[in-house]
Amino acid sequence: MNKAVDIFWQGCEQGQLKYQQCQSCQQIQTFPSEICPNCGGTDLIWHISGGSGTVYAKTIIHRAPTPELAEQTPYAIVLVNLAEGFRIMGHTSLDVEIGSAVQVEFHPFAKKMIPFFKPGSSIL
Amino acid sequence: MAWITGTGLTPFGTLTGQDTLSLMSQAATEALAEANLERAAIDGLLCGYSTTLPHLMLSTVFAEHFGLKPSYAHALQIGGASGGAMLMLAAILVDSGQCERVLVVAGENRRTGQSRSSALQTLAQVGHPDYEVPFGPTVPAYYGLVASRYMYDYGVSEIDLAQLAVVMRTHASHQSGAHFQTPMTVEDVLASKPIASPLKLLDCCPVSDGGAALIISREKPHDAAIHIGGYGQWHNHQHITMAPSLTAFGSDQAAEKALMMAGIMLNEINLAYIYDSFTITVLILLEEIGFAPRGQAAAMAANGDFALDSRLPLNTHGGLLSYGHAGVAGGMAHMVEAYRQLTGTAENSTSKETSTAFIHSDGGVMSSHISLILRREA
Repeated sequence: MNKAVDIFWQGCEQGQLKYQQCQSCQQIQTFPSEICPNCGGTDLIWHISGGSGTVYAKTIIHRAPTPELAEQTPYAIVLVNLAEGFRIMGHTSLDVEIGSAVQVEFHPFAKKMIPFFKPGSSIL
Repeated sequence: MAWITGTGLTPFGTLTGQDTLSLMSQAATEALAEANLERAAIDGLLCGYSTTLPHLMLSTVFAEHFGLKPSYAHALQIGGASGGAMLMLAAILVDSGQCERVLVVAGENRRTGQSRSSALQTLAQVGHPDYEVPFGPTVPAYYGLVASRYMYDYGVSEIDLAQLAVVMRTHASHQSGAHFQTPMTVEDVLASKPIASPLKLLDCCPVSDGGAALIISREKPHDAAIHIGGYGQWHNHQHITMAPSLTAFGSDQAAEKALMMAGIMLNEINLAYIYDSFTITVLILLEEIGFAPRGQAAAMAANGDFALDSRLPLNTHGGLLSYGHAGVAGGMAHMVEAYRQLTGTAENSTSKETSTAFIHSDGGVMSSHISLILRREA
């Protein structure tokens, strides 16, 4: 069986933002996992998010955690509230502000395709 | 009742040639001397963790090194709240009769004892390895996210954050052991290098070498009777993405338990020691616990409401932001200073009579909260 973390990141490689819902209590999960922290259920099903959300918090990194990432600075990290009701960490453009509507894309960063939230939502 | 009978605190900063055990030993030696105790009198030992000596059994490594034979010993770790957790447990141990005298000690050469990359690797564990670390965050980045939302919701500005940094530096400027003692202004903070917006270098505490120790006794001391009157904890989340809100973290829940246990109201407190890993940390904690209305902590700081001559002096030694942050010992410096203020032995003297100190520690990213109340017996 594939681990939840692998399914999530494989989704990103394929251009899909995947999230989980617990079949026992219906809770939408924040971190994909093998267990629901709300009810302890282990029957978690996957959905594909439409990728629309709102920026909840944002920081621009000027000092990177590793020498390898130093050349990428400045880059912007956000917490985004997705329309489906989960929150996720991602990247965005430097000028995006809190409260902005954003739409997910996938951009390469440190050898991974990561969720990158572009300003403007085409759906909502 | 649990009485504090001795304290030790090394200078913080760049202490070349020191290591975890030497810094712990220095602080413990000072605490024993202050308590007028021999090492053999210690029957309980609680240690923090050290990133430069990540041992499975740090407490007994220290006991062997320092020559202690405790009947109860272990280390514990809950990030920046470790000091608060140890002091709370020490009180429980003596109150239960398990121990007569507990030594609480921590120290590490966090600044000089490791490379920058290994320090970052340890600190990066604060982030979720699968769902946060891949985005390239840092510890200041997690607090930068918190700051961005809190400032958005309550109209707090970068100038406001800087006011808190200035208070700590003003207090540290009269503190011989402080890592940073040169006075600074709001303009200096605003002009410092950007780290993780909205946080700049002087919004962040330094990484320091240092050690701290306290002795908690079951027997009441003859003079300077300071007891641990109340304590409480609240654990809200681990990773910042999982925090239900970036404006409510539960520090008030921990504080309420401590106040209730001590049987006092918040307005009876006349010394505040609030965890200040970043300016935003202490600003939010002051407001959430209730020492300042929401969005008003900075205005109060600018007005001198947390100064040495105010009715609520804050982090009188300079806090983590200016006395320094040597891991677990960093949070314990607040406790040592609180005791010394209450006994009139601190370097910085407050102008008003003080009897009740409130201490709050934060572990993780506003994740774990521990409040303690120290009182001088009337």
